[in-house]
Amino acid sequence: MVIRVWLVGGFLVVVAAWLLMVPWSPPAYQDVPGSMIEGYRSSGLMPAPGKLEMSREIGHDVFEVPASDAGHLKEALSRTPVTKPEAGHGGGEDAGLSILAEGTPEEVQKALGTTAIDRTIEISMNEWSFRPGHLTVKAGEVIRLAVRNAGHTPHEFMLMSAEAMSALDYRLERADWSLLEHEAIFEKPIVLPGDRFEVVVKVDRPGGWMFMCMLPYHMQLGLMGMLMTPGVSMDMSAMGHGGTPAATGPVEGRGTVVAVDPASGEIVLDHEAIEGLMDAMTMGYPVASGELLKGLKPGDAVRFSIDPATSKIVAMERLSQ
Amino acid sequence: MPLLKPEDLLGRLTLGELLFSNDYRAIAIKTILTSLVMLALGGLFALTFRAELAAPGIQFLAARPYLGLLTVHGMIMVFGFLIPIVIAICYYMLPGSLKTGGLHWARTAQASYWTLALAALLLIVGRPDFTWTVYAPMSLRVGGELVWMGYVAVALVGISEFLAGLVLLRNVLAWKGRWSELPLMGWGMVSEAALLLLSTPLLFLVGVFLLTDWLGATALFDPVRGGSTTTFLWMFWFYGHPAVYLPLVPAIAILYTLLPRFLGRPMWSYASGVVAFLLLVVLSFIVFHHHFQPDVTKHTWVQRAFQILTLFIFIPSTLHVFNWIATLWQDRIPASARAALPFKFMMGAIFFLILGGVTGYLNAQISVDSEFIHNTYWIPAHFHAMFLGFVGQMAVAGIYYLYPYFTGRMYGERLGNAHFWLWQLGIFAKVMLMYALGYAYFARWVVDYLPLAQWTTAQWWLTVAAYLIGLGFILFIANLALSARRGARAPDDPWAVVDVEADFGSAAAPAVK
Repeated sequence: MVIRVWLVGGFLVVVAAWLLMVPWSPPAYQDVPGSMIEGYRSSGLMPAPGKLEMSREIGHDVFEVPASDAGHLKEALSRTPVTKPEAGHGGGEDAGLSILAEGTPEEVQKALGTTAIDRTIEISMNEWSFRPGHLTVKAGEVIRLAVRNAGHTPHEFMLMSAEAMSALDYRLERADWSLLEHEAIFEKPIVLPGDRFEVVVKVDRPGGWMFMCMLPYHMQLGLMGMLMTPGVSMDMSAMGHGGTPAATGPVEGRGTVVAVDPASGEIVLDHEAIEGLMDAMTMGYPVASGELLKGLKPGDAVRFSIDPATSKIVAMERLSQ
Repeated sequence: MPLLKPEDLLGRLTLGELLFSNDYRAIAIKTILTSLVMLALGGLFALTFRAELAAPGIQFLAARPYLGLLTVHGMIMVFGFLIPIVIAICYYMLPGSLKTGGLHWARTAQASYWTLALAALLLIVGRPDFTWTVYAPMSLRVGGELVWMGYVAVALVGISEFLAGLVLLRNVLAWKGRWSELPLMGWGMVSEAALLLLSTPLLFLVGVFLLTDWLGATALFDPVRGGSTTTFLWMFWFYGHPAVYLPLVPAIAILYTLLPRFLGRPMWSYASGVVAFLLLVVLSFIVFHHHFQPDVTKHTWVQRAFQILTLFIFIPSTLHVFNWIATLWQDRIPASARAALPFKFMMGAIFFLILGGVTGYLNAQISVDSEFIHNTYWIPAHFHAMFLGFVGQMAVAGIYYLYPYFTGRMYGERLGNAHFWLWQLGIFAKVMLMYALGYAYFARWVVDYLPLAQWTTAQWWLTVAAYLIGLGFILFIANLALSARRGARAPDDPWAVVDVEADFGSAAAPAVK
C-alpha cells in the first residue's frame, strides 16, 4: 500500500512540478527569446562558428582576433596623420599621448625628475562609472591622473587613442574577448578596491582618447570615459573618424539624468542622439556652472545645450514629469 | 537495547500512520521516501537542463527558465534530499545506537518534516531563479510575482533544520553511558546538532530580510537603498559553510556505524573519529569567507587567515579518511562485506570524498581560486563529488542497509549491482568532465556557450553521464519497489559477518543491528 502510494504519488508530484517549471507553462518565463550568441552572430557582431579559435600565443582564455579586425585597425590607423611621438609606450606609432611616469606618487616623482606637472586630475572608478568621466585637456599639457578604485570589485585602467578605438568601435557592442590590450597606450591591469596609482601623461597634440576598464562587460556597463582637447569630439558609438571637428554653435539634446555630482561639476545623462555631435548613449558631461545642477535628481527628464568647443553643458532645463 | 529486526514495517503501516505517527521509524521512512521523490524531482530538473546544455546554442530552454530549473535543482537537492535523507537514516539508527529506546522529541521531528514539506511546496510553486545561494541584490531583482515564496521557503528551511538539530541534541543528551564511550554515531549527531542550532538562525534571518527587503519594508541587503551586500554575504555564508557539512556529517556518522558492522571489527581509532568530528564543527564556522574570496575589501591578512583556516579542514577530513582506510586495511575484508551492496556504495563514497577533497585543496588557495577556478565548472565538480559522490552514495548505502529492516526482504542483487556500476561510472564521468570544463574556463550558470571543441565534447559527454546516473536511479527505485514484494526473505541478521569472527565490544562497535 505504502509503496504503491509512494510510487504513484511521487510520480505525480514529479511530473506536476516538472510541468510547472518547464518553459512553456508561465508566459512570463519566455521573455528571453533565442540565444545571446546567436543574436550577436546574426547581427554580424561575432564571427561564425569555426572562425573563432583559442590563442596559442597568449593563453587558453584569450581568443584570436578575427582577421577582419586586423584590417579594420590598419585602415583606421592609416587615416591618422603621422607625427613622431615624444615618448610613451604602446598605442602604435602615433598615440598623441605620451606616458611620462606611472606608479606610486614616489615612483612618479622619481621618474619625472625635474619635469613640471601642469595639473593633477583625481579620477575615481566604481561600479559602473568613472568620476569625472569627461576630461578636457590642452595640447602640450602635462597631467597627473591620480586614479583610485572606489568600488567593490577589481578593475583595470586603460588609455586608448581614438584612432585605435575607431578600429575597435564595434567591440563596444560585444563581449570583450576581441579587445587587444597591446593596442593600449597605457594599461594598469588590476586595480584592487581601495588601491590608487598615478600616471603622468603629456598631451602631444590635439585629439581624443578614451579610458576604460576592459574586464569583461565592465566597459559596456559604463566604465569608460573620455579625455579630449577642446574642439575635438568623439562619436563613441561609431568612432570611425578619429578627431572630428565639432559643430560651431551649441547643440541641443534631450535625456534622463542618471547621476549628479556637484563636487566634480558633472552630470551623467542617458541621452538621445545629439545631432552633429554624438549618438544616443549614457555618459558624464561637465557643466559650465554648478547652478545648472541645482534641483536635479536621477530620473529627471531634461533638455540641455552643449558647447561642442568645450564639450560642456551650457544650459539645462528640467522637463515636466 | 532495542535491536533492529527484519520486519515488514512498510506492509504493516497504514498511510495515516506513515504520515502522522510519531514512531521514529515511521518518521524516518516517511522522510526517506519523500527525499527520494525530491531526488527524482531535482534529478529530472538536472536532466532537463543537461539536455539543453548538451549542445551550444539554445535548444529549448531560454535563460530564465534555465536559471529557474538550476535554482530549484540546487535547493531541492541540498535542502530536500541531501540533508533530510541522511538525518532520517540517523533517526532510524540512533535509538539502537544510543540505546535510548526510541526517538526523543519525535513530535519535533514530525514538525521539522512538515515544515520542510511546506518549504518544498513553496519553492516549486514559487519557482525562484536566483540560484541556491540567493545572492542579494540579484535575488531581489529577479523572479516573478511569486518570488516571495522562495524567500519564505528559505526561512522555513531554517526553522525545519533548527528543529531537527533540537531533536538530535536531545537524543544525544539521553545517552546514559560514559561520554568516552558514546558511539561515533553519537559524536556525529552532537556535531550535526551544533551545526544546525548555531547556523540555521542565520538562514532564517536571511529568508526574512530578503522578504522584507523585497516588500520594501527594509533595505538591509539592497545597496541601491543603502543596504549592504557584504552583510548578506556574511550572514548567508555563516550558515552556508556549515550548511555544506550538514549532509556530510551524518553521512560520515553512518559510515562509522556501518563500516565496523560489515567488517566485524571496531574502528581503527575511536579517538581520532571524535576529534575529527569536533574539529570539523569548529572549523566550519570560521572558514565561510572562502566562498567569496578574493574579498579585496578586507585586509590581506584577514583573507590569508581564512585561507589558512580553510586548509586546516584537511586535518579532520584526513583523520576521518585514514581512520576508514586503516580499519579496512588492518585485516582482510570479509566475503560477506565484499558482496554486500551497502558496503560497495560505501567504498564508492569514500573514493569520491577523496577525489572531491583533494581538489578542494586547490579551491582553498585564493590565488588559484580567483585567477582560474572561481565561478567555473570546477566548483560544481568539487561539490558534486562531495554531495553526490559521497553523501548521495552514503544515503543509498544507508537505505540498502535499512531495507531488510523495514520491508523484511532483501533488495534484488542484480538490479542493485547495475545501479552501483551505473552510478560509479556516471558520477565519475560527470565529476571529471566538470573538472575538465572548469579547467577550460567554462563558466557556471550559463545556458549558452561558444562552440569550442573542448567545451562541446565535454558538455555532450557530461549529459550522457548525467543520464547514466538517471538510469541508475530508476533501477534503484524499481529495486526498492519490486523487492518489497518479491525480494528474498531477509534472514534474522541480514548483515552477519561471514568468514571472519565478530569482534565487537569496543565503544566504536556498532550498536545497531
